[in-house]
Amino acid sequence: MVKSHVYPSMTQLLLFLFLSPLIVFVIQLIFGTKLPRKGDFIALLVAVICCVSSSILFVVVWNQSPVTYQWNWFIVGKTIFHIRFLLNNLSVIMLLLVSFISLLVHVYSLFYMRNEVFYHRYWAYLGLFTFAMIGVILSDNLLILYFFWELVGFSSYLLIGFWFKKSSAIQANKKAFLVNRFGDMGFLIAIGILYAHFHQLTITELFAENTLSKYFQQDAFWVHLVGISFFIAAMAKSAQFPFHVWLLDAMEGPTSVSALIHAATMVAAGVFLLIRVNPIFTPSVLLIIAIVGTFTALFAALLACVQTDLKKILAFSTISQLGFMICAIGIGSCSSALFHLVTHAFFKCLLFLCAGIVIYYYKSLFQQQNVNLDAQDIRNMGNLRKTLPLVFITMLIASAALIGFPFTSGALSKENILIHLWYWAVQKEGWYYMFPIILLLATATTIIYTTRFIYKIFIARPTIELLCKDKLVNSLHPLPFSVKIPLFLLSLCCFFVLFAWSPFSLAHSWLLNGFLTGIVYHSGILTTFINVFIISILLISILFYRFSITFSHRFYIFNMQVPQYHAFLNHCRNHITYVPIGGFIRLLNIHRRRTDIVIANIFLMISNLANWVDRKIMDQVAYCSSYIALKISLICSNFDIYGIDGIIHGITTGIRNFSIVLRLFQRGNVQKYLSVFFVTLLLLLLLFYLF
Amino acid sequence: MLIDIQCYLIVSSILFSIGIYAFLTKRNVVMMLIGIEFMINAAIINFVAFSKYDSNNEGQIMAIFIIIMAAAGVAVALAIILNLYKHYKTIDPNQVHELGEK
Repeated sequence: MVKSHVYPSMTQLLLFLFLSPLIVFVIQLIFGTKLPRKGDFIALLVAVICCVSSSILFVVVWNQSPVTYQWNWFIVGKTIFHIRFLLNNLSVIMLLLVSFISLLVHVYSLFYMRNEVFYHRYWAYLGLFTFAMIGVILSDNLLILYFFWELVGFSSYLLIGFWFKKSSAIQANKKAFLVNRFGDMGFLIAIGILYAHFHQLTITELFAENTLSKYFQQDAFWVHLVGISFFIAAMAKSAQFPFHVWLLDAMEGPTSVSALIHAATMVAAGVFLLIRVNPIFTPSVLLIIAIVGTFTALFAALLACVQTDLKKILAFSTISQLGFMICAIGIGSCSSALFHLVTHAFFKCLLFLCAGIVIYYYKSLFQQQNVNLDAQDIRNMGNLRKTLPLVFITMLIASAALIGFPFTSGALSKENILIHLWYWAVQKEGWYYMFPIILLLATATTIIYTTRFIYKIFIARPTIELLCKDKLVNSLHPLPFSVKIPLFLLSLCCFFVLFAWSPFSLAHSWLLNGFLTGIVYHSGILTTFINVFIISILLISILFYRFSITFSHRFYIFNMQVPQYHAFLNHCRNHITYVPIGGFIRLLNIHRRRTDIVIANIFLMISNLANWVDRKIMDQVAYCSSYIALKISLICSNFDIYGIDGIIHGITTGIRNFSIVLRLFQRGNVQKYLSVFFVTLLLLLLLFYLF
Repeated sequence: MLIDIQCYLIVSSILFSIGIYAFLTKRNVVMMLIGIEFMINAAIINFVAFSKYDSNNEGQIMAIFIIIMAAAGVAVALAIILNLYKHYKTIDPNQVHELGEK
């Protein structure tokens, strides 16, 4: 057992980091309303402390030998269960990520949530979530990991339903909770099987090299089952294809919550789990993982193209990017999955925070103007770049990172996944080439939907006359500091410098070098070749830019209502040079209108088809399965009512009837007493006489 | 002239049956009390009849003792009946049943 003797104070630091969010939760729940400012300063202070202490842990542990801490928990028979924390490269990077983003969201929420009635409760829930997430990251014992896994789901449930007076929010949090519970079932099954076979649940010992490989040869069936169960847990948490339904409804929660939980951290927990238990996966399970991930990446990206709700577009985008990560795990490249997880957390959190400001702006505007319009619908938006320039710039940076624009962090991580996938396909040959092709298509689709919403919100002329006037919302002019700081810091994190010294060579990425496991493609002779490959990918993506920006420019026209269509088309013809995003695009934007419209139509058709599949078939499948489940439960309940309850009721009714007979003699009627007495006496006499 | 012992026993058993019948069927507590007296007297007749065969007349002494006891019992019982009537305004035993359900 490796114990830290070098840094004796680290145990206290770790415990402090671990428990302080829980203390915030308790304090806020009990004293929340009585404290000045409803106690938000406590939550903020703890978030700062968490961030600082996880940075210290990060500096101490990164690229050093892993450190474990353990305390005895309880003993069953001869097995001792430990509360065991593991600090290795994986957990400290996640710790830093979670606490940093949590801090920024805390700062942002100071402004964003300030008018809420249940302001104190919000901080309590955030504290609970941070506690649970840190628990998931640190635990080295599967059982404890499972507890925190559930707790993460529960705190997400609380936060989705934060506006509990909206019935849609209540429906949404119920749905999210139930889907997550289904995943937890997979986790529980996996734990059960592992415990039955290995009699311990400590991850590091379980996946030590001898145990697992020895077992793997004996009984392949159970190993497959464990792998699939873990994957089901991760699928539910990371909203992969059949389980992606909950994440959309989860957008009912406050936007700051969506940024923290449903974009950056909680949904990444599934990916994190898969990385953590990676050795258990057999090649066939890995293939399933890769298939699901790839499919989800494209499917969700296509769905994002036809959504009109801004937050739902971002949610689908999250699902798609998580698909990229899952796919990377499926091809056995955990390091690139983790890399993308980290970069994605920053830019997607930034996107959500910006979207929060945009929605806030429109909500206030619509309230001022006294119109009843959906503040989240991008069809109602437009021309915001002059009104909210800072938000425009930061959202542009985040979107650039999302689509993998060169010089951003997203470019590094996404290309890393694509390269690994490409080499994996080259090794396997045959139909395996489908994987990189599909993922490239997903990347292209990402560009399309991202350009679409950026263009619609910030550049295009608003479709509604009222919004053409530049109305300023007072509270956003100037942007408060608590909004500026997170936006600024997160935009910094979207650039490549933070992750690698060179924007094109992954060999210099400190983050990837921290996870050198298995085959590494960016070292040795291959490097030059890969650089060529990266450049070709860049060229391809530039080509995609050229096409997709014109696509999406065309394409969102088709999403508008018919009366506005012609007016808008005229407008576009007059201001066609006004369309592109910056000079770079302006150069590439050659207007071949006809072909564009045809291609855009085809594309739109595919997206609508995907949407139809999602709405009709997936929903039908869900309804069918719920119908079957209902029937089965009906049979069970009938058995319960007439079988089990029947026995119990039979016994009680028997006793009752017998007691009615007995009670006849005890009614206080003297004559009856005596008659019973005489009859009994006679019977006894008869008995004596006969025998 | 000697009367056979069976004759006494027949009389007493008839008396006893009448007593039981009165006790079980009458809707008046006083009549039930009379039924009890019938049964007691049947027992007394038996005592007296069987005392013919014992030497020191213990049976007859017991009969006198029982008569006294019965008189005392009737006095107590009548007092109870009086109180019963005061309390319930009836002496029908079927209507005096606070133990059982109505």
